[in-house]
Amino acid sequence: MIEHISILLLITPLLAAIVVSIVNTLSKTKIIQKIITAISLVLPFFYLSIIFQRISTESISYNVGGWEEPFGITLIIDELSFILLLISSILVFVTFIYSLQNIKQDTEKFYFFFLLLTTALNGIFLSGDLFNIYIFFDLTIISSFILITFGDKKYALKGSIKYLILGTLASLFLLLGIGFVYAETGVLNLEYVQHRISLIDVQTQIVIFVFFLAAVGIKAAIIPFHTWLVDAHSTAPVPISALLSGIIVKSGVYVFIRISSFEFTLPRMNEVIIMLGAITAVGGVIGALMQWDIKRITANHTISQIGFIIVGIGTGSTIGFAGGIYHIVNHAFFKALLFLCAGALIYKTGSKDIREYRIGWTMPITFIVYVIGILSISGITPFNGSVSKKLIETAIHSYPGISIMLLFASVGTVASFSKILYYAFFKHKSVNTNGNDGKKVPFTMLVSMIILAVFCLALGIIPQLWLDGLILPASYLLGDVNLIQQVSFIEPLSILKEWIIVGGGLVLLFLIIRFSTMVDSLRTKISKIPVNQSILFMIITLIIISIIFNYL
Amino acid sequence: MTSRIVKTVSRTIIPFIFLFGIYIIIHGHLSPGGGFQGGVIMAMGVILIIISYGYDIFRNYTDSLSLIETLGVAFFILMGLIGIIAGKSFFSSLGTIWLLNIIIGLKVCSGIVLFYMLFIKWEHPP
Amino acid sequence: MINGITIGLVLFLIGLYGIITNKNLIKIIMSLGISSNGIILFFNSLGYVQGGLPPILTESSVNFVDPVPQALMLTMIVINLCDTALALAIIVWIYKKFGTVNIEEMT
Repeated sequence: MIEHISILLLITPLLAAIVVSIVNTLSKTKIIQKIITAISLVLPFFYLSIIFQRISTESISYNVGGWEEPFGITLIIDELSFILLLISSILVFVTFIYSLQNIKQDTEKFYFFFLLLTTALNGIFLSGDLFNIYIFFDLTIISSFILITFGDKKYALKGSIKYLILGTLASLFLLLGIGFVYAETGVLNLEYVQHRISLIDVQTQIVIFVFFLAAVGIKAAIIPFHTWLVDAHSTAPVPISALLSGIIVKSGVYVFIRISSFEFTLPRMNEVIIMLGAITAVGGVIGALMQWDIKRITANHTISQIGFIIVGIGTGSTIGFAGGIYHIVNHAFFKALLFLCAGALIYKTGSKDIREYRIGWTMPITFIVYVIGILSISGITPFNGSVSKKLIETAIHSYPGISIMLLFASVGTVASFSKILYYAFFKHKSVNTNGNDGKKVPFTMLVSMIILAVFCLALGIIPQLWLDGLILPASYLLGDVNLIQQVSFIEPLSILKEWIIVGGGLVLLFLIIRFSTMVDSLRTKISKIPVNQSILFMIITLIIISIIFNYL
Repeated sequence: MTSRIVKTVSRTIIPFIFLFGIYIIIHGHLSPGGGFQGGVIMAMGVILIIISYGYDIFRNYTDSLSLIETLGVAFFILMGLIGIIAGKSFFSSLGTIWLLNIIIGLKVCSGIVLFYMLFIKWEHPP
Repeated sequence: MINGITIGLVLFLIGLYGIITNKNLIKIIMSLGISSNGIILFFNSLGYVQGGLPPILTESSVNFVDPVPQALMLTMIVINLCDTALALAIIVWIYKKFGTVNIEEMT
């Protein structure tokens, strides 16, 4: 029975979605759908705890239909997909709790698409061959694009159509890459392709790598391919924004990790990837400093943190992989926390512009939890962001230019979140009684935010436990075992560096507020480019990358 | 679109469209075809009825069409789970591919007819 | 020289040009359809064997054309159909809300 866990992880949300849809057409209540969704989101925790013991010795692979290894569909669970399945189940469960009192219209259709999204996410992390990745990739894009339209209708439709056009283009690029791999090697299974790619000639390898980079880049929002992300994430309803930034963007990074473990023999591939990651980290922060809408600021920071992850993975060393995977886990938790807190602020005051919030001390629990989230993303020591940022900085200490760019990204992160803290919480309302003051934040929203804050604290205070148990075995799959050095996490020199970064961030904030009219005109000029003309920049970047590989 | 010539010609042709669709569904494991292709052809027959005889024939059937569709997916997955109960892996071939083809054919036919009806619902107010 | 592989890639590039330069949302969706049809043609002609028979089980044992890309493309056609139908549904909704389907006036 234990071999069938892979299939049960896929079938449980899908059957629950079908039962919810049947109940929809038969009756009009909403309680039954909520109960069915709750049951089917708790079951994956039982499945994962059953197979945890067996994962540490070998990986579980399951042949669908009984057909043999290179010819049939296989589902694989190894340590890397176990970590991602675990955080995906936790995030989906927490956002389900949050959405119980947040989604007020069309709730019965919402839960159907929510369960379909869970199925598609589990499918990407479970699949063991390339075409299966394409199928669940496309299913993720379809179900999340429908969920985006549940938000405020004036803006949500524009964000969702941009997401759909670019997402379908990403799937078409992925198919082209799969086509060339099949033409040259004849198999589609991930383990078999890994060894056979080094036998192809270099010109075809460049073409395959460029197509896969385009597909992954659109999904994971690397800088020339990122133009859909700010509109889509900021116009979605709040629990869907948290899921989108937390785990759906990470599925693109997961496909990128699987592809970078193919043995491409391109010269200097690592340095191109690290350069793209550094540009992404800086560009996301510059975009965030120009905005005044709280959800757009947080969405821009997703782009910059993904830049950190890509830098960590692109180094190819074991410490880099461990830092990248740890940052995936950390970023899922604190970014979902930041979005859920922003949702509580929007619920209380009814507007998204941070210059209109003058909350002061009227929301104490939200304030404490939000400060925990901000300290995590800035990388201050007892919280979880500092651990993964320290690992990534250790991995790239031989590239001084990249270290300076990542330092600037950290300074900008502190600056823009201090801006939110100052405008939202440190200015009091001048008039005491107003229409919105009596609204309290509902109980389920507070519970879900507190759960995520506890995870953030736990991941930061005892990092050795998580590293030895989960993350290092995953990174040993991809790098060499002997190259890990001892990294200590409480060092006075690094704590001093963090507080210097905080000081630099406050100085940058002061400068931005001084020159705010120039920043506003720059922002309106950039947002006039429609989305399909930004595809031209993507194509130019791909052509430049292939020319660079050809002449090295 | 509902003139006498269109009604007469479509009344003659539609049974042959249905017969051809059922032929392609049932012979799915022996010749090119199968569930999806035959389902689309059968849906074309139903859409021809809606075009030539007016929208009011099928107006009240939207709920039952979506019920057929979801029950189709549920049966498909349950047929896959029978493979687990019989001891081998999910979706192993136990000689029941013809049943899967028929389920998919009905599901695709009702799905595409539902697409068409929902798209033109705004043009025909009651 | 002119075989399925090159024509498929040329169709993909034509569709890509259509996505970049069109301003009407419906024309963008049609260009996505042209691109995916080009990819279907490219994939199917990867498995071509010179002088092969269609892959249906008969009694003789000669060369068969590779059936794997054909099976993959059946799945892809279904996914693409679902994608196009949903995109058109959202465009109908956009037209009712904003009165225009021009992507520049919508932004």
